[in-house]
Amino acid sequence: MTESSAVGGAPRRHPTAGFRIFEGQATIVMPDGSFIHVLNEIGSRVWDLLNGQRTESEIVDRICAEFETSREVAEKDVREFLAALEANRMLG
Amino acid sequence: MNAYQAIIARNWKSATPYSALFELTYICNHACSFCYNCPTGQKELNTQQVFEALRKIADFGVLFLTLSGGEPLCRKDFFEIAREAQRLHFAIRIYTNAFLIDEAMAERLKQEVHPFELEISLHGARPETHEALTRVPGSFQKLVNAVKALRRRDMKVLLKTPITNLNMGEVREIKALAEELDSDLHFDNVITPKDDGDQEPLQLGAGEEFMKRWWSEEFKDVREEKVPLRRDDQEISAVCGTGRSGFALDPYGNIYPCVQWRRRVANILEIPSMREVWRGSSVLKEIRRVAEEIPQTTLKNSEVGDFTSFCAGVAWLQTGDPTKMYPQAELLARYRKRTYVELQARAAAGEVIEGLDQTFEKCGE
Repeated sequence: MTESSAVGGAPRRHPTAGFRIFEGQATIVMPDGSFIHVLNEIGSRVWDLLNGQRTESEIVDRICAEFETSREVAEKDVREFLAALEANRMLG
Repeated sequence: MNAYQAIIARNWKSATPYSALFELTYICNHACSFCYNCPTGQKELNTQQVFEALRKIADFGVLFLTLSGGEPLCRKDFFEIAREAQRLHFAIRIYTNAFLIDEAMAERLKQEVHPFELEISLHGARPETHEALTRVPGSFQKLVNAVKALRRRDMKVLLKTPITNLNMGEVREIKALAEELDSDLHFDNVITPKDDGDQEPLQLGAGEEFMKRWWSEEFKDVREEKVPLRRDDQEISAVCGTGRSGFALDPYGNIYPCVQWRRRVANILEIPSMREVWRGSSVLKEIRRVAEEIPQTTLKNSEVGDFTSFCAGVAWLQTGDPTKMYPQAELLARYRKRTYVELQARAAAGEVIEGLDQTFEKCGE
């Protein structure tokens, strides 16, 4: 997770990612073609929210509102998830 | 079964497509002697019509989009179309002969299209073999240069080689060339008739004697299938993904159950959404019924059914009946089975042979 993409800024899905969200589950194909990523329900929702217009904090707000989870847990999960996306070069 | 395989299995069962093949044009800069395309002379879709089709396909939830032809790069608006496809979040694959891909074009593909794979037809390891099929002088060297340009940019390339009586003597060299070009390679054992049923391309087939050798130990080092694989109709009962996991469109906007089985379903410009036609089409209902029936009838009644990679579209083109065993499928299955039985006997005698229990992916999986 980098400063610009995930903390304080408005993280964004990588624009070259191919993806569909079907029955709440996101399937993502990155152009290097090496992996197909399948996200769980909350991960899929976060992915859907990563349009470059919402801050990490606003994404956490939405997750807290839509899923039964405490803010503390949601913050930790979203942060870790964004870090994983960053590590896989799926943000941009 | 991993999460992705679980999605694929679920989509097959519910006949929810995740891939589409779009023939953007029948214009081509090659003149391949066995090309299956049959242009009708109708006007091909213009840019805005292609965009409309792409939006309908995206709205339907399709993830994988293959841009094909003819030669798709022959379209002057190819990059406009590909950019629109990317804006709609498709995972893009391109089928091409690579004739137009130089360094500049490779860079544009990398920067503007971001395909996850390019599939390129390679017909031989030498210029004279490749060009005997493409009938375009210089096309071999252009292909080699194109692949190098793409690989220099870390773009994934799959070379596809239909085995013919012209290139069957150089399959080892073709494999070596693919390795030299740092690209994946797929040999195709089956030559298909033209889309209008013309059987002439079948004369280019490698023939029985070669297929017998191909499936023997002699070519084990060249084959992708080191040990012949078997069918598995337990998890997914349909013979293939026709009208189920994907569909195809021609340059006029006509929708087909797959690229091989050309039963017209509708025209994408004349329907409000793919969803309606996908569930309501009597053609698709019949296609799916036939695809479910084949493993229970044709393949069950055949001695080599367990080893048959069966294409209902080719069966339809070759015999007029999509459920009828056709000679190419039966021949390949016979030699696949023969090798399998030999290996099974060696395993029974104590030799360690890995992969005897593996099954092959169905077409469209």
